[in-house]
Amino acid sequence: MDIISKESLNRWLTDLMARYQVMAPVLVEGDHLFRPISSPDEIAWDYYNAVVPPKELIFPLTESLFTLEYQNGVPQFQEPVIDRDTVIVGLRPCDARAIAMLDASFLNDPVDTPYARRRALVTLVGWTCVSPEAPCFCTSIGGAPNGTEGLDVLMTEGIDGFFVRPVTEKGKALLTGAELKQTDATPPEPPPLPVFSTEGITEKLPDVFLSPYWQEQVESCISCKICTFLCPTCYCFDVRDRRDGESIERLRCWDSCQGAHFSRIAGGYNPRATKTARWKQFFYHKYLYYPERFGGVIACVGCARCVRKCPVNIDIREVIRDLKEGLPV
Amino acid sequence: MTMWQFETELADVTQRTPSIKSFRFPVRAKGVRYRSGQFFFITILIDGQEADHHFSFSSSPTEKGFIEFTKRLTGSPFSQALGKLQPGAWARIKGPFGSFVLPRNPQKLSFMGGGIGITPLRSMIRYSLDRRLPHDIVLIYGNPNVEETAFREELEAIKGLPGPSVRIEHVLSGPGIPDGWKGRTGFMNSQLVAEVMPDYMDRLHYISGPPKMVAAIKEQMEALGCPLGRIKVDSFTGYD
Repeated sequence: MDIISKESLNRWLTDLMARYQVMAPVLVEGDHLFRPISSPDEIAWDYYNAVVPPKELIFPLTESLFTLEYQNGVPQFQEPVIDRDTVIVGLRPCDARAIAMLDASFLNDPVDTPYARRRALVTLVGWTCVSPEAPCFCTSIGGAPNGTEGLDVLMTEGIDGFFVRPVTEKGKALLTGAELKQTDATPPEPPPLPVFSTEGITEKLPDVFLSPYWQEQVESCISCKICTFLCPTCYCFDVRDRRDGESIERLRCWDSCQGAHFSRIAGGYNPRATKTARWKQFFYHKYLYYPERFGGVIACVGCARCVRKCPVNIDIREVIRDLKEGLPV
Repeated sequence: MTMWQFETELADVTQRTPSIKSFRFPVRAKGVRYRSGQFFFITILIDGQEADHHFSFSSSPTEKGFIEFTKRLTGSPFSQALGKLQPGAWARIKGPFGSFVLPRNPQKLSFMGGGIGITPLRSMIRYSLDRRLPHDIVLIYGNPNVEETAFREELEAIKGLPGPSVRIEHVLSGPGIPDGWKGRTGFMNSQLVAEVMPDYMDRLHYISGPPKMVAAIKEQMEALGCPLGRIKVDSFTGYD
């Protein structure tokens, strides 16, 4: 296996910055977030995970889809330019796996053009989660703290440097020029996480759709939507037009199925008018609808952001355990 | 990390040394999470009145179902009340607080603990061992004598366990240094640190103990050239 010293890694990153936009975890007012960096010194090497998942770098919180501007009475159509090669450094394997899931949604027919353009320009360099801790549960749901799905390169930090594992050809190409050294040493194994089984969850869900359990589970929910905004696999969005004089800009922004009006349709009817119906949608989409469509893959990577940040302690792991034990019908 | 607060009752008291006791409280509430090295506030009843105090967790988050703090009982009213506390006594606990915590990536670490200042360091060592984190830890642990060295047996027992590399250097200041003591004597200082860990410039330093000791060592480590950003401190106010 190859290893790169911290000093050599810094030199490689500095070299990349001349050719790419490099995004990495940095400390912003007490929180870790992915931001463009101009020096490796800005990187928060000692970080757990970003509060906002790096999906925001490929599927921005708000983005312009196009602008229509009237010039002498003639509408001029303009699309934003997306041409910046970007390297995302330091994302965790769970978040890379989530990006692979977003790919399945956005890159399948019909292809989402802005997403596809950004995604093609991005190379993902992940860092093994060397100290994962509860409530993380990636290992219960098909992932691993040193998993490579979705990544182009995986790096694992040891005391003497980073062990480097290219995953794709794109990743190999990116490493050209990096001062790698061969080593007989092996990367540190991530500590084990508590594992619980999620097997059979998808199959159980259709039979318990009307269970009173769902209402009890979300009684304390205050519909703050943090679970969906911070979820690396959630991708609901809204589209709005902003008028400025003779110009109209069409914007796409993240939305949440936990919003009271998210599902309201023309005429005012709201098929998910209750908190219970909305939260059930959140869970069923991840654990039934997405797997049905994409080969059985559950659209949850166990990052536990929803568990950590829920202000009323709703815990998706408990729902999984309860489902395994059997819900009242 | 999300704040929490819950009511509980004292479950166990463990005599660690003649003057140091550990107090253990069951945790039944959901979402009680903390990082090793952090601290919390506890409220107990003294003569029917609520009184609170902050303590470092001496337990590790990997030790499930309870939290524990460890205190050298002094003559303060709170210490006196703690000394009389019986299992079943009511308490309210709120936390977690503090940034005296382990780095998330594997590193060379130096722990310098004076007396009861061992508690957050014990929590971090226990956590690193239980999670098999690949840190390289050197602990310099200062006490007056062997009898007053809290967690001595536990620290001795970790030698050779898988996971982090942990080297422990005891320093006794007396009185009561046993005849035939082959370890180090005197007080902790930067000269001792440089002898024990010549690679001190590569290490992330954690200093924990009485305020005067913490301030003195911190100043000396700075004088040795350690950048302030590589020194974390935890002052145990109320101890000389």
